[in-house]
Amino acid sequence: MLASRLCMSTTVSLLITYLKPQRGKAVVLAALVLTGIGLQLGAPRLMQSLIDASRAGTEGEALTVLAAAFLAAVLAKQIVTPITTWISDNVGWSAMNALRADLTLHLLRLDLGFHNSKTPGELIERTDGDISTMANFFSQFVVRVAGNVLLMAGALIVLWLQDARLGAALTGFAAISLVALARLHRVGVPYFKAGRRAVAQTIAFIEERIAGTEDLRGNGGLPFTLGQMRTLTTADGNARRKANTIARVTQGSWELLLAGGLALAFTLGALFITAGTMTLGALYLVFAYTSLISANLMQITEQLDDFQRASANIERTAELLNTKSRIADGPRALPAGALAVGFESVSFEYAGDTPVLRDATFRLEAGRKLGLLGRTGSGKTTIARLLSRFYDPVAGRVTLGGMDLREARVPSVRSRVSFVTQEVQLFHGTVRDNLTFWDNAAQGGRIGDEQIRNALASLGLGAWLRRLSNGLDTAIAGASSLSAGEAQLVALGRAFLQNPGLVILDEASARLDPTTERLIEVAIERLLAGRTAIIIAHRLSTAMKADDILVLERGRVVEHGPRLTLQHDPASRFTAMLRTGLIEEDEA
Amino acid sequence: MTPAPAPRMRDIFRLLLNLVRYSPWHYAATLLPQALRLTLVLAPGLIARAVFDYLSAGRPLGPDLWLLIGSLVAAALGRVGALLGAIYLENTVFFRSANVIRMNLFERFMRRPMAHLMPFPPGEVVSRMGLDGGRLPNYLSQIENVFGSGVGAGLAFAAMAAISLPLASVALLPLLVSPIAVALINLRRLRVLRNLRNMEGRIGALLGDAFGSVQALQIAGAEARAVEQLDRLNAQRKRYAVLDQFLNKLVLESFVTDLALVTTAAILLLAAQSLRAGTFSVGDFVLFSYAANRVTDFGFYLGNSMSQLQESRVAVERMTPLLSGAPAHTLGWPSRWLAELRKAPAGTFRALEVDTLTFTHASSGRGIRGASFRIQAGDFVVVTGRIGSGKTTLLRTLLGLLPAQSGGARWNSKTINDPAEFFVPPRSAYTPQVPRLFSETLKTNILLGSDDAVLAEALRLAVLEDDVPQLEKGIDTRVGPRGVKLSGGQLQRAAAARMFARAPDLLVFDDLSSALDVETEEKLWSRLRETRGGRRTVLAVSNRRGALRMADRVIVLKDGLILDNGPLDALLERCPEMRAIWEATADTGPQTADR
Repeated sequence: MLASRLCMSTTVSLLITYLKPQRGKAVVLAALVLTGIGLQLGAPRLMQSLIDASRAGTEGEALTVLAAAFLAAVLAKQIVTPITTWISDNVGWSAMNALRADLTLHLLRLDLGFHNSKTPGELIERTDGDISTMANFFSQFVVRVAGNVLLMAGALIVLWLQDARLGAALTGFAAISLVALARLHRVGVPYFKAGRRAVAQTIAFIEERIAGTEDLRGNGGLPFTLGQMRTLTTADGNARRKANTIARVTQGSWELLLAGGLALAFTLGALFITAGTMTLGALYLVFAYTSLISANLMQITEQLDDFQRASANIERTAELLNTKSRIADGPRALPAGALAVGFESVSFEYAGDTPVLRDATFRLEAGRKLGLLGRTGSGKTTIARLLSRFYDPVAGRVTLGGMDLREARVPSVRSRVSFVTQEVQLFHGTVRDNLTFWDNAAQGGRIGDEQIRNALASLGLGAWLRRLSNGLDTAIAGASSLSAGEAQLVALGRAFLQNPGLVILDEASARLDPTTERLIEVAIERLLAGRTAIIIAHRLSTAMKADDILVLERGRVVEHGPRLTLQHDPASRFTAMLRTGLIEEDEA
Repeated sequence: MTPAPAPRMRDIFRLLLNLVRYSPWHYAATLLPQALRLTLVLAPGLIARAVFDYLSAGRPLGPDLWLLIGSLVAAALGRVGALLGAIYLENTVFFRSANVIRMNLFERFMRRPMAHLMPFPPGEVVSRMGLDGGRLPNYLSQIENVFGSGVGAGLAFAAMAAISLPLASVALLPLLVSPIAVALINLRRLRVLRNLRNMEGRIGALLGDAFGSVQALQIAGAEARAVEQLDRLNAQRKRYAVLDQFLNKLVLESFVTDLALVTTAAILLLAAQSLRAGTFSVGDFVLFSYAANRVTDFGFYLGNSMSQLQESRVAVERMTPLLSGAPAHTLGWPSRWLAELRKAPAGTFRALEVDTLTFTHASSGRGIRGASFRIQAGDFVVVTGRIGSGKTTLLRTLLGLLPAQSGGARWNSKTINDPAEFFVPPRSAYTPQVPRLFSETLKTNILLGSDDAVLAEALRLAVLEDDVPQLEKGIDTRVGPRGVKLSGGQLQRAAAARMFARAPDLLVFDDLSSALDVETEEKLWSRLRETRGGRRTVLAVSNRRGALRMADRVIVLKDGLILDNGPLDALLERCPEMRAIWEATADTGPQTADR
């Protein structure tokens, strides 16, 4: 019960937050809805006077006048309804889009630990799919439910005016019904939640598998994968069928209650009419109103269905919105210029895993270049991730420009530290968009085409840019449309435009052709000029450009010093590596 | 990929027919509670008529009146029961149909000819599979509602006609007018719907990109700008969605429901005249006012189904490009592919002959031309060459992941007709350049349905046995999306283990060892060379010395042509390109002096 009330308040507060900016439209909407209700209630009143007039044998109001009035009313409704829909849909979609934007931003800012546990497919489904099912809720729910409540209230008032006894009896009945329904209104919610979970799982599955088609096909994994898909879709269908059926229990209860109400009205009507204290026309009015409400029942129950569905998704969305990033923002901004790096007894492990960094301590002076060497899994990438503040150390401090990273503002860290990864993440858009992350003048951003061209030129990539078929407008269709080398160039361009104080470069392992490789070498040299740099080197030639060398082994710093010193020390590990030509140190 | 032809209405109906044929009894079963429910809808009208006639006749209150009123509640109970039954059955058949479509879409898409390419961003493919697959079954559900409400309307008409045929006929008038109006508006709506779905796809694509490259976005501090892009697309989608709803509303409410209201009004005015003339009882009048609305319900469902047909049409348009040329109607029928796959026999492997294989990428003009070579059972063949020389293209074309423009291959002297379907275990297994794992346990990723018994040996061959105990939950560790929880080297070795678990005749590696250190790589190759019931046959792309030294023969590629083919030592002497590659890889391999 508490959970239910809690959710009720989440739902209501979400409604208020996202519908508030739409107040103006809401007023117009309310007026339109009221007009519609007036029309719906008016028509049976006309019919009532018709019946009573014919029963009394009087002419009553002129039939033609009635006919005209009725037709006018219907025509007016014909115009009012689509306009109402138009406005309420606009209201609903604006609210929904605002919620989508907030949720997406929140998720994009969550730590990588979160993203390593959720597939993009699931997140797409939760930011777009889940919220889309709230469309009706945001656009129609308030209007429809409020409209129908008003309709019922209006009907009861008209009945009170007609016959206080009947009005009182039916009002009592309505009150009891509402209490009963209030208890039932959430019966489907847990089932809808389970259904949405199942859908998100299927979607996540599909998204991951289609990206791994070659792997699955080449290894004969398709039959197994199709089997998994069958299990998932079946489970998803069963979960949703259950939810859809159970949610209709609410609708069924409505129908039963209405039938009960009508039976009550007929019983009372029979008594009063026989006693001569009520007309047949008045009973018709009751019947007409009950049918009216019954006809609207379809709409109300759809709304209630949607409400249950939306409540389930609001709870799922709220769960995501309440997920806190493990990275707490600090108050200070990092200083300008090249940044000194400090690791002070830093230890780190990924959740529940073996330690990847153990008591690592080193300093890198501003403007110097550090070559980071070690086997795969020795902790090189972790150092880069700690410096980009994707994670905080489990023990010890990481400092940049003398400031503990925990005290620094995250946006300031991200703008002053550039991490060029081996695998470059590209998205569907132009080269310009991919270089600037949409922050370009063409879209009202800060970076003009001239600046992009200059940046590429100073990286030695002017010729490369001219070779692209459409220049900066060349479309990139995801990671598959550029060669690995070109993707690397884009990544270097991104870093240069960012103008960082520290560059961390995870050198791409061999797979590049010599021309591209030379281009990249030049670009890296220009990018690193005047900046502090940490290079995770896979090639000897790259390591030889470093000022300092640091060798990691199983998360420990086993060697650290100026390159020239180490190079001339015959006992150093670095010399051993140079001798064997191995850059990834062999432990054997 | 050639653009798929636009599906015609005929195809859509064939697809729908297939769906019904796939679940005929399910569909038939849903009609029953539907009809029952919508028939009972008329009950309150008939009962009310009797009550009004009873009361207007001035008869004293008796048990038959209470019986009438009681039957009102009984009818409601029946209706509710039928409703729940109808919903359950409707959902059963809906998901049965939707799932056969989704399964077929998924299977077809996974078997697409250019496996490394996607016609749309993944987010969009997902949106097409997830959402569009459900639109056709939805249409079929609507058809059932049309049927059910049609029965209801027929009964309502009969009840009214029994009182006055001419008046009852008036109630049918909107059914003549509204379908035309609906069809006209739907013409306009079709365009809007296409735009709307297109926008939904683009939003899916953007979200997929954003969540897929979240690290890059965070590094660049571009999270808010990604959301701005989303907002821009969302605003456009809102425009189409609202317009679509508006047109839909115009169709269903203005031209169906409200038009019917006008006729109802007309009928009631006429009925009122009869009431005054005394040819109509109050009960008749009440029945008319109730029953005319049931005819309206039919009009509503009819109009709605016409709208749904448009949605189905757009959905089929969107699903067709995922089918790689298969006709859309096959979506509605379970695929026989798996069953046929299981029937395919596998013999002992003797030799693979590749004959003048050619494929040129349309975009870059690069590729391979006239590649011919032969692999005997037990051979270790390494394909080497600079970047862009066509190594990966050679493997992909051979395996049918790219369509060969000419030439082909023979397996045990028999021509391979469909390489993509042929080169699967137990004949061969393949690991692409950047292997992908899935967010399952390491064990599931390696086994992919194979028997547990092969696991230990697969781990050993892949030199993964020492890494497994270090993982959080050993072999049952969930490796996270795309295997992010493993290191690069572990990921590549897990992919290798996945191949070994299938014990194929031919192992095909594309640059497997790029993230392995030299020691591990040497171990991996030498374990593969251990003879155990015959040597394993390997075709590997690599420039690394470890692999090259292991090879019985090396194939040197340059600019898409096979330059030379022979033992490494011979090639190092006679082939300058081989020497150049050997020298260039000095950094990443052990010294030659080791040998």
